[in-house]
Amino acid sequence: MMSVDKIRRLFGGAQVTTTPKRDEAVFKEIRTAYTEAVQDRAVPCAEGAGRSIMRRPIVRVAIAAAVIMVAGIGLHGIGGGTPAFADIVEPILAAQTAVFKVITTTSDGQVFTIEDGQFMHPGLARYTLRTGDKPDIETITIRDYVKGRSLALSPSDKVAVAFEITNRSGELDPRRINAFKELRDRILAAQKNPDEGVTYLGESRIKGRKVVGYRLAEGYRRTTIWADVETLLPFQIEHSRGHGGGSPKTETMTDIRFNVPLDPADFDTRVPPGYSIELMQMDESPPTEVDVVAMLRIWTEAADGSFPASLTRARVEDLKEIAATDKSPGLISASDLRDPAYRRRMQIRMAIWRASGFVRHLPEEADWRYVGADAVLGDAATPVFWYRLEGSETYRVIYADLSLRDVAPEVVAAFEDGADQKH
Amino acid sequence: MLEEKLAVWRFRQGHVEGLRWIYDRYKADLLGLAVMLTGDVDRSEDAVQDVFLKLARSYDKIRIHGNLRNYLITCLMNRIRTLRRDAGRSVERQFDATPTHVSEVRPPEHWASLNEQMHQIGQALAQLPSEQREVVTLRFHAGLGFRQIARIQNASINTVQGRFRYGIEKLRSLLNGEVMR
Repeated sequence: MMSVDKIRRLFGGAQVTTTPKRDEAVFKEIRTAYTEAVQDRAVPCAEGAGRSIMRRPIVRVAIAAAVIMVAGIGLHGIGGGTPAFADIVEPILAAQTAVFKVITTTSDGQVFTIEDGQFMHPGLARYTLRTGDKPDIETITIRDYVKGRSLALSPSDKVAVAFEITNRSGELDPRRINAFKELRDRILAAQKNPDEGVTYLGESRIKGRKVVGYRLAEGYRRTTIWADVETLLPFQIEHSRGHGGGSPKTETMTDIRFNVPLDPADFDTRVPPGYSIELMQMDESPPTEVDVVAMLRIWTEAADGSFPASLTRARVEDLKEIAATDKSPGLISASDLRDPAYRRRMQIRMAIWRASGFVRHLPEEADWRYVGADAVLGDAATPVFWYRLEGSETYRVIYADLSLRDVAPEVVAAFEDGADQKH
Repeated sequence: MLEEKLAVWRFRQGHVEGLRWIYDRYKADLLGLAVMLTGDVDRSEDAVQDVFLKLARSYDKIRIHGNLRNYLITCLMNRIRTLRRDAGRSVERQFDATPTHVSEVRPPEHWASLNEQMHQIGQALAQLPSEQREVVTLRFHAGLGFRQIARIQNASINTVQGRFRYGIEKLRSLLNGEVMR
């Protein structure tokens, strides 16, 4: 075998050179970003821009003078400054109540669902949902994140499904359980890294209203917040998922009003009189390896013993179609409530959510890998998934018979080699 | 070293020549490191460009403890991890995929050009688990000590040394008979 010294020499001789033409093109882009940043620090036109400059006394005086001038003209008037991102999202982050409409459209422009939403701080939500193909049938969903209850009502059928969250670990952060949770999380994440996460889109017009936009980008998700130029209140919020699981859809939040009076009785999760009741429990304990096994069990049973090709979220989502021909992921429609397969679909959704959650949150050091593409259910000698937690001497391996075993790293290295040869 | 300090000072004062010096001094070094870590030249180019872009945008905010090279290496490691996460941690290891790009003859319009040793080492490294690949690369290519690597990997020195041992053993086997004949 090659000596370590030879390997070291090989590293020493390994080199990358750059092509001059491309070199200049790359540097030009970097220089532009640098020049803009330098200029940006000198002109306090946007959020956070003046923070470090303000520490310098002479600049502070100059900025104070500039601020007085701007105030005299009118900040949002002719030639006014760029509305700060923080000002535009502040109502979203601070709202005690909100009402709005969400229209979800498919990639070909078809209306998928229309929801009338209500939020009440800290964790109450009520949606009235209609689907694009059955706009006259509505389903009401009421969620109380604090109590861990959720209720779906189908008024036309008098059917109620009561959900109960079990095994919740710890208290919920009031900010996280607020009904604007996902949107707020995206905003907060973007604010931590505005240079990369937030893009100013400039001015536009929506429904005749002059608006100013900011776009948040996180992976494949894009959220665009358009605010009224005059009031700086959010006017329309668009959220799209380019890829990454499920069919592409765009959610457009419109008719947004904050801090309007709402009746707490509308958020009551008790089943109204006259409704037939179904009870479902939702396990919120931290996902474990057992959840991966559970998901693989559902998959293999539904797919004649074959395993998924990969454990990517998009692939695992296929499980819904394989197991239950569910073509409307995430949708709770009125007819769903009466459908005998509804409970099964919910179990599948839960299995997907928990298994993918476990895999997604494994640390980088876990060195996990899924190699089950060609495995057949029942094969006790074929590994399909392994991972290792920090500090552990061994790997945890799920085999094709869905057993779980502790395995030495050398054995896993052999699995790796075998898998690499196959691919 | 004095030259570097002067360049960093100029850079932080907003002078483009400071940025130019840093770019010229470290671009190839970082590209080489990225190729070894990702096994993919295109992604390496993206990651290194991102590191310089971020450096440029936050020129007045960066706090360099120690030397600039180590700072840039840490930024690059973070960027590569972010890209790896964004790639969805695919079980097929799309991000850490077999190094098809490493072994390709690359067209001239690309930024990075690899010599033969880089091709060979890149192909071999791509077959190691990412954490072993990191340790071996940071040790042999970047010349970092185990303590520094442990800090970057947020792991104990023992763990890092173990990863190094496993990584080297596998590399010895992979490279046996293929190079230095």
